[in-house]
Amino acid sequence: MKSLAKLALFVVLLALPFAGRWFWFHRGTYQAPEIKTVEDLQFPDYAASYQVFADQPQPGNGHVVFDLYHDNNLAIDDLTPLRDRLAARGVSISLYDGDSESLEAELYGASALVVFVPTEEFSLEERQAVKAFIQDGGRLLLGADPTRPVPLDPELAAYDPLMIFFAESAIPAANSLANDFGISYFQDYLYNLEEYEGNYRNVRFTSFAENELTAGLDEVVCFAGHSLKADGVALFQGDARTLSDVRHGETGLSPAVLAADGQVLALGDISFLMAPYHLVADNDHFLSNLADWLATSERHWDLTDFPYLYERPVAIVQMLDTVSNPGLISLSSPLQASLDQAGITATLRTAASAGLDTLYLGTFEEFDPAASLLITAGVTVTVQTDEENPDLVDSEVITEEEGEDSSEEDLPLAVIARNLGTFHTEGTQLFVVSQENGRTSVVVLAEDRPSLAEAVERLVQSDFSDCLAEGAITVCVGSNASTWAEDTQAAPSGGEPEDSSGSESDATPTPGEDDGGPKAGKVFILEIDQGPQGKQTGAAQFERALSSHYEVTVWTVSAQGYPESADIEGYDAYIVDSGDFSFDEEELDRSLVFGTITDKVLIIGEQILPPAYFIEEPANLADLKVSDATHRLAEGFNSGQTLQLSASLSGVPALVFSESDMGSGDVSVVFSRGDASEASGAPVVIASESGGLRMILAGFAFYRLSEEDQVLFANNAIAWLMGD
Amino acid sequence: MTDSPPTPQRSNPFRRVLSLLFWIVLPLVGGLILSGYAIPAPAIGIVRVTTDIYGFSASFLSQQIQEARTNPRIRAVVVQIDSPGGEVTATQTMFFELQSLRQQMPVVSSIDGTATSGAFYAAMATDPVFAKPSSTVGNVGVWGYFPTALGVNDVVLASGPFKLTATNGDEFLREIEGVKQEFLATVASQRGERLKISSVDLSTGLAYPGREAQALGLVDFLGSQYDAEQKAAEMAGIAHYEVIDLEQLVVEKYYGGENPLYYYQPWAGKADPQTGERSLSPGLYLLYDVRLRRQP
Repeated sequence: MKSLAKLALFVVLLALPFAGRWFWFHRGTYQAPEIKTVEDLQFPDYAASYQVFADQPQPGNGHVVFDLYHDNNLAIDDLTPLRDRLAARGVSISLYDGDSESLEAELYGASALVVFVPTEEFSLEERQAVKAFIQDGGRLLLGADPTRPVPLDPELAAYDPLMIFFAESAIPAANSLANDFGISYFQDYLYNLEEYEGNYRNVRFTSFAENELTAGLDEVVCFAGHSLKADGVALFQGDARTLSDVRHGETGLSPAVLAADGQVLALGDISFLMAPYHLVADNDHFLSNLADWLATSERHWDLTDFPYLYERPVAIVQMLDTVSNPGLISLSSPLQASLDQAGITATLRTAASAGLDTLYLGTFEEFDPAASLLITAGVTVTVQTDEENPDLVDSEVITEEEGEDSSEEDLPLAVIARNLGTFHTEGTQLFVVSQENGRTSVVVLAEDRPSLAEAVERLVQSDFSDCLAEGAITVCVGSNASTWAEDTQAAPSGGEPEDSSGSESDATPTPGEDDGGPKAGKVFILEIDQGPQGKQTGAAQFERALSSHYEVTVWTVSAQGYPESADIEGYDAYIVDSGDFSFDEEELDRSLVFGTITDKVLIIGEQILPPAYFIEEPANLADLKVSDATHRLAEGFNSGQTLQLSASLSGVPALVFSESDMGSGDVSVVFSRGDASEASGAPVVIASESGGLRMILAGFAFYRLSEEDQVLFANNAIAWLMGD
Repeated sequence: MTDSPPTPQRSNPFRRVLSLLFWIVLPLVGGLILSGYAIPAPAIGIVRVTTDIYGFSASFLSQQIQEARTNPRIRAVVVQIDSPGGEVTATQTMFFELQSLRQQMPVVSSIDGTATSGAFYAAMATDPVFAKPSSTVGNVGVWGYFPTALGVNDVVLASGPFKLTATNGDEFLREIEGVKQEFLATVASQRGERLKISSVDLSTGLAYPGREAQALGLVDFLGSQYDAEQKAAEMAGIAHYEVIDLEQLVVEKYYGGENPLYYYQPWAGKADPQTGERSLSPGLYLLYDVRLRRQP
């Protein structure tokens, strides 16, 4: 027993540390929980499905320009689906890359413009050209895409693909054009975390505004698109779950909007118009609707759109006797070439033909085939017996036969144009457009063959900038005009000097009043009529204003190149005129001229000098104000007088000068920018005299002055330069 | 004749001491010694996910987990997390390793600075999850890029249109969608009713500060690593435990004392310490890349 007890004690004591240790370290046991696993997860079975829409193209017309001049972030092939649809509708297409022409010129014959993912902003001139185009009935399709920012440097992109996240946004470029039409792009992208096409940023749209563009659509999928805002219509609208990464809290967002006038369509995504995404859902159907919209643009064509105002083949009808004037046949050559370039067939006919549009060429004495058109338009050609009171023989147009019978000697003829006034036929070119019953007819009349040739040239160039126009009638002055229109209503007017006595000065003759006496001097006008943008110089106006008292020579750079030193010797004063042309950075010869002609020179133009030379950016100029009425240059003007300027034809902004731009010497600011101009108060006309050398720097296009002010200014300038 | 009572015999003191030693001291001391072997002091193992998650870092973690399994003293594991995530497959490897360990012992995570994307995915294998109030937690989602589509030429020939790229645009979208759904389902299944945020909201990819993550049910407690150790001990039913750094143990045991993650097995897609730039191969990633948040 004792031994048993001892054994038991031994065991107990042996076990005691085990128990103590156990309870010291353990408070329980671990129960492994039921661990849930992801099993049989039902993933949405995303499989891209592509479906082709059976396009049924309706015949359309017109010409669509695709812009590729603004560093557009796309490849030519990206445009293939849209281009194919347009071609199927008979629409012609051109790509604008800016190599040869301005955007304004490119839109000349266009009915629609497509601008996809520009990354370079549109210039003021380009925006004005597009606005004018839209106002004329043209259509604009503008597209941006959040996946197409300003392209990265290729080496950087190859080194690190993630740098794409830090690329510069292309939104400012898109908005530079869109904002003009009440449309704004947001720098965001739309997404939907619940209903999407394979990825949260591929958003489905099932809510559409009623519009021809959305006809027949059930669902459109955008593959990452910006949201837009517009004054007009949101074509697609997202539901409450379609959100923007930037526009927090907003719903009903849209990636496709139409401007209020229905002429501008802006899209926040272009991927859905490109392969293969255009085959998802109803994207292909939308593409067809889009092509229909572009192909049925209703551009309003008028004379200035020649030859695009014609839609059918043209019959050129010469109303002159070509038997006795075989040279008249050559008149048609430039017209045929111009029409041919526009894809319009032109043939010489003796009379108008059904099914063809018509272009009549004639004189004020030979126009019988077009007589009825002239009457309808409100044009009357009559014998003028008294300059003050033209005597109408009767209310009908006098035909050639009647004219010959009614007078034994040549009586001067006059043209009476409704709402424009009465014009001498001498030097007058008349254009009348008739667009009735789907048929377009244009009548061109002039005094004689040379004038008619000049009128044809004007028509081919579509240069009616110095003409008067009212409705269907346009009246222009040819180079042989000696008198101008009476009772004109549309001539630009300048400021009336309060004291008109100065205008009677001998140094300010009236143009046209050439007294036949000896000229006061010889003036050389260098006409720089070229530049990236521009329409016209003031050379013709200078010549008209000065020719009565000076022997004027005009040298035109575009035709003759820059003159050599020998060409400019022997003149008493010089005018270097660049008109409203912008400065050509790549043109070096101009600087050579400035280095050669340093005395007695008037340098005039909106951008006659490089803009980079000036601190301030060029700004729009609307009026001039006389700053120094004591200067010879301002004779005939009053102190503080404001001279209104007509609108610049090119829209190129004018340089902003400062007095320091003239360097040392006796410098006078004679005219400044008026109150209606940007940079008001800045010098515009600066006269400087240094070491006996006289120079005038004028930062505006001379033709913008009123005729009266032109005469004053030009003669004052030459007189001062010559030492008066 | 009468018998005299027997004379009591005097006990031998030496024998008494010997008896005491044998029957009392010996079993006590023996018990103490033997119990030390039989009932080792429990310990909590610390494993770490403190780098980008990629193939080798997942293997390295597996080695630490294996140590935890085979070491009889380790009764619970605390995962210290401070990682932006990384490769998809490596992340899922970590997830499953940690999840299977939970069958054997409690696995608790303690988030330090960051547990985003793949690191958060791995944390979902643990329960509960501790974080600091300002830890960055979440960023649920996947991203990646695929190689440019390749055409054909007369030099390199392949047996199929996607042999060289292994994917195309549509397939890549499917993969992204699949991984995203897998991630969301994992969070939902592991957090269960504790989750207070919808899958749709979670799929935006936002990362949340620890306190907000707790309110949303993405983490359970706000506290320190010690708090996580305490919790792990409580779940394991142990007290008076030691803490064993399993990462250091593995480094010394297998890598001669030099941590391979930093010395000779860093990730090819590791961020440059100066610029933060990474050089990532085409593919999918459960990765929160800080560089993408800031302008270059």
